[in-house]
Amino acid sequence: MSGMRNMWQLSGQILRKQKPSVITDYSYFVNDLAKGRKPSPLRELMRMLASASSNVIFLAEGLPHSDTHPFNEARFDLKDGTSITLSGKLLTSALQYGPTEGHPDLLQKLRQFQERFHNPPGFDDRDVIATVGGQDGLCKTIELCMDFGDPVIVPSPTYSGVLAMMRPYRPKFVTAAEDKYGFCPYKLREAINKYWSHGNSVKAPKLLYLNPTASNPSGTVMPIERKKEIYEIACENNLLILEDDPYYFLHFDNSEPQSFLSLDEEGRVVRFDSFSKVFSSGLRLGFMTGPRPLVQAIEYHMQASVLHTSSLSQIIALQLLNQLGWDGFIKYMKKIRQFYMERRNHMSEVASKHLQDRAEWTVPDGGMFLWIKVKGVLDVYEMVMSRGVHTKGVMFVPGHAFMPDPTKPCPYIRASYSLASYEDMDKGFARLAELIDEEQHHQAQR
Amino acid sequence: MFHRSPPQRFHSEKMENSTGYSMDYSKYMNEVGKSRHPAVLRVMESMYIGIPEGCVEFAAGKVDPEIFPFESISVKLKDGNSFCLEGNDLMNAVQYQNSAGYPPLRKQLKEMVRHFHKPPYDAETILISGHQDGVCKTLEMMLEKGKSVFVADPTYASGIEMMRPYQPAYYTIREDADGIIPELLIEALERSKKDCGGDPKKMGNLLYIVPNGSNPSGTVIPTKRKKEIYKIACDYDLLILEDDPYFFHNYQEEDSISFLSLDTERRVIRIEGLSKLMTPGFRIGMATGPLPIIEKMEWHMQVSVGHLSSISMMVIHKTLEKWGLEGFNKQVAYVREVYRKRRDLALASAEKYLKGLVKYNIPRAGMFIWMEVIGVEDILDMVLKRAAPKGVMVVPGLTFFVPREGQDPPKNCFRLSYSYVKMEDIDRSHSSPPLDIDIQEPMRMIKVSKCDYPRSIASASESRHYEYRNRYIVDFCNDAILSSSDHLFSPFDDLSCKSKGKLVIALDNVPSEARVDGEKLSVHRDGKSQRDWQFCKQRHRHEVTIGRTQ
Repeated sequence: MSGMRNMWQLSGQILRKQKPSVITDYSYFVNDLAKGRKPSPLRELMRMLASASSNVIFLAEGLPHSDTHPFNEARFDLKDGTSITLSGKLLTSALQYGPTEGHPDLLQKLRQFQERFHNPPGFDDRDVIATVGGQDGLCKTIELCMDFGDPVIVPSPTYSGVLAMMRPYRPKFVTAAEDKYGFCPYKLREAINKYWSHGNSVKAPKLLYLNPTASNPSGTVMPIERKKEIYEIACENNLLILEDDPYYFLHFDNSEPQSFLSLDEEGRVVRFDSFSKVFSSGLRLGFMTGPRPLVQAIEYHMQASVLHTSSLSQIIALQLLNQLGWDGFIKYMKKIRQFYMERRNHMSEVASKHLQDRAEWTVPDGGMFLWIKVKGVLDVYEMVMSRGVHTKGVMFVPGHAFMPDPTKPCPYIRASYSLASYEDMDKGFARLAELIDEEQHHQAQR
Repeated sequence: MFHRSPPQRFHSEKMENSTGYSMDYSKYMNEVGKSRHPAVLRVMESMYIGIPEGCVEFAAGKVDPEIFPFESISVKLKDGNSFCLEGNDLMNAVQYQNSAGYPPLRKQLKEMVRHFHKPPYDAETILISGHQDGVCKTLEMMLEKGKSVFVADPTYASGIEMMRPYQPAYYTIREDADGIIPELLIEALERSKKDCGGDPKKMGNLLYIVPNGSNPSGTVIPTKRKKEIYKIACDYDLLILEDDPYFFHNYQEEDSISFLSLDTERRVIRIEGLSKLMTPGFRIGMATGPLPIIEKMEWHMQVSVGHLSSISMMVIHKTLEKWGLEGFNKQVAYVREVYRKRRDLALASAEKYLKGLVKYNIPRAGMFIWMEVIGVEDILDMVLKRAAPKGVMVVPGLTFFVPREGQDPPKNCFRLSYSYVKMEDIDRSHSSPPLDIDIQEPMRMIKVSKCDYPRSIASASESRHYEYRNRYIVDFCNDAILSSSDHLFSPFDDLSCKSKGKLVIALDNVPSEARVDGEKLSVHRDGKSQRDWQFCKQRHRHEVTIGRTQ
């Protein structure tokens, strides 16, 4: 084929004002495994099937015939009284194999979504694809870039899922503690310098992971000024920023936060969005936005593994988005935000009432968790896991789960306010107060 | 927390099997596979066993389903059955689930595997995101650069793509009408042993096989031969990755069996799915095998897909509940008949039109016919360039052969699928063999035709419905990569004028290699071809601009 270029380079000359440091060659960031991946010829054929003129007879793709699908109709009744009915051709789309990157109409919608909420610079050079939950996009990006023993930059505490994704590669975690606005830039710089000062021939970190809106577990929302500073650090150190943002709409402010994607002049940000906290966590529908060469490599991986995310989920989400429209969507998210805010307020009150001096916490600016530091107790593991559950009858998550090094003693616990009833919150925190009292007593005696 | 050792359940890489010796599965895995442990939160969840009554929970990051917009989900089946998901069922459909699968569905499918295959030990079953993901995750757990892996020749193309990044040492085993030949398997194993110089680290232990309805060749390995192959696997310490999506699409008189049913030594990892039986879009499959391997797959799923789509799982669960085993068998019989008829029709018209031109075996299962063209050495050009304008598309056989040194794989084969095409078209396609067309145009061609009225286009996949709001339809020929456009932003009549007219075309997907800036194009319109056009730029994946060169 004429003109085949190294797929890691962006193709096309986009005429716009660019800083000279825009990344054009992403091959530095990807590992050898990913470089060896090629597009699946059968999946590329699937594309041809979808786009060929109707007089071409396809004897190529092993598509099961829709006669063999046992379903006739599926109707989704919604709480607002409307309903979505899938039948005929629409149902067939929901039941049949689809393109790896996602149903084309949904992709168009998602692209519009990103443009509306983030308006990323150089959007033409970015692709948006549907993934099996935001998490699969993130996991595949890590599998794309990481090599055994690589250093990787994460905040402390951070989402336990991403630690689990990285651990099989035995990474060296370069961490910096968060403050009430998230990752602290000067602490981050310190951590990076400390890492480099350990030796001359250490590997350079390539990835910076963060969860900037309502970070799990700490609930911090990173303001835009800080994001700009962190972006500078990423540029200085030639890092990719993995912006994991499933709680983007679950902040408690009046306006949407500005994302890293919206600042991304150099093409460093790979962003992961999710519908899990929006329409349903059962859908397993998320989408990732990133520089074309990286997203394409992940598509090739998906072609070889999951093929695509559930067609049914895609069609439902598409119908919901179409029905709501943008204004409807924003109103819908406002309701959800209100829901969580009320719960957060209630749990904060209850925590203040029962815990008082026994612990300290910052009221979260978004999300569904309270990140509590127990005073006077060095390590809460046994307190939470055995005495808490079995003696007192209250269940939290010990903070160890969110630390890059879970073997160190940790005084934090995470409490979720998304599901418990108000009555249970009162009961639970009363029990927690007793638990802490007893634990402090034990510690004093030792 | 992990200075306390995790519960015994998570360190089960050693296992007692029914003959009494223990097997260490970590020796089969690569570094990443060995290092994979369950996510800490999941370990904790499992530690919350024996939770006392009245325990208040703040641990799970679950979302209150109250905020989700769904009230109920009603499904009607073609056989007249129907069900409704509401209350607790609805909650399960919209909520996070266990990575191994929604427990009642997992139980149903585990029982199904037990019923049809009767594994000789208590094999573990989990749900996976389509059977292909199970194969992929097993390979990602085990393959290493330079380590040998044993595959059939030809073998499933996507399987090759999964293996390719790992650059293993491929050892291929030819097939006859009954599948892979056991003597050749032994030969390949001996060769591999020699090549590794007896180093057990380099010697691979994985046999990847599609034993019933091999894709692409359609062979089914008879029971006697399966037993032979299993014995060889035991002798040479192989694991068998049994990829079996066509188990039920068996057109023979007698039923075929699976390797799982013979697996006394716990060597088989069986991957199957509901895609070819019920719905491929839901992405539901099952992986069955020894606990240490299935667990690793589950842990990998925990951090990647999380779990399968809950709605899909609930719908399938309810459907299987309605059907029971009887209903499921009915569906299987129906599906088998549908495909058998198609296979017979395809074979009849192949006999009618392609006699003397191609060689093929009669497929005993699956959805494909594997054909070898007589007298032509390389059919790649024919398939890619000449077949589509002639109106037929097949898969060139090269994609089904693993890369190898020395002798080249045969280049004159192709795979033909009879699963999807309209019945009447099967005959039509065979009657116009593309063997004698010669395309003169050296350039890529796009074809433009005027559309006089707004109409809906149902594409060949029947999955999209586009209203034409503008007046023109653009087809890219020769490469058949771009679809008919439904947005034309500038007047196409520029074609007739000599000025530098530009045309912006919005399309569904432009693979990045599809066009190169500055590449010359010929634009074919109303029977005439104009050769002074070129690609100008690609705005993003869905839009290209073409303009005149002068």
